Amino acid sequence: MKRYETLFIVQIDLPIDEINSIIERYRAIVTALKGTIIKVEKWGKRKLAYEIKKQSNGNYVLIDFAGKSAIIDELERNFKIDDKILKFMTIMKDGNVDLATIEKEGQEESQTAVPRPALVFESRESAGPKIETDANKDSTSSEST
Amino acid sequence: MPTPSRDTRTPRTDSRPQKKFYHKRKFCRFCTDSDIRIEYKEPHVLKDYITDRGKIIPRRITGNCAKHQREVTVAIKRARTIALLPFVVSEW
Repeated sequence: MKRYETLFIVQIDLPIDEINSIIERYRAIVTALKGTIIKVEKWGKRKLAYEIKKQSNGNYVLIDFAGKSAIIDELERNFKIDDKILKFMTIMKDGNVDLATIEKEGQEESQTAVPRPALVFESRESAGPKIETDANKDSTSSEST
Repeated sequence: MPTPSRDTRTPRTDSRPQKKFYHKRKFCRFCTDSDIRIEYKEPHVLKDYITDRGKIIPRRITGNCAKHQREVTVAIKRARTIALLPFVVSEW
């Protein structure tokens, strides 16, 4: 069994239960093809680094699961035909995992939202990428090139 | 015909001492501190390795070791495809 991680971006201007139903649909695809979901993380709304389909914000969702590669094909096929998914990316995290370690990890992981502040990239006139947090709004980069 | 050797640092007619380009040996931040994970999901770590224009900074300037520079590059490229880092920051 291989361990994969899929990150996809959903449109923001949808009601919350519709977003949840989208996520549930993809969870169901994974479990229907006998994959084990390790964690599902919702990062929430973030500013995109570039515009995708004329949208500048997106709702990020991460699904960490293990299974066969047929799950990936089915997931990506559905991502492609769904209009509300702006972008998706799947990477393989581990080529060889066994079921026992995964299930243990799945129970340990909690579904609390990890705060992931977005980076704001502005034009060259300002100093560089900034991190959008409430604590510090000033620039954190110091480019020496 | 033998190819002429080009020594760009010391021109033949110049009598100045050879300029050595020894930079102070920078350390690889990831080798010394193994707590930092290089992941495409953490753009706040990766943003130190891109210019303000969004380009990847070469290793001779950042001081990374080869292995970690490769990992940083892969992570930056992945982050770019998922819109966590830009491809280009254009000035207007």
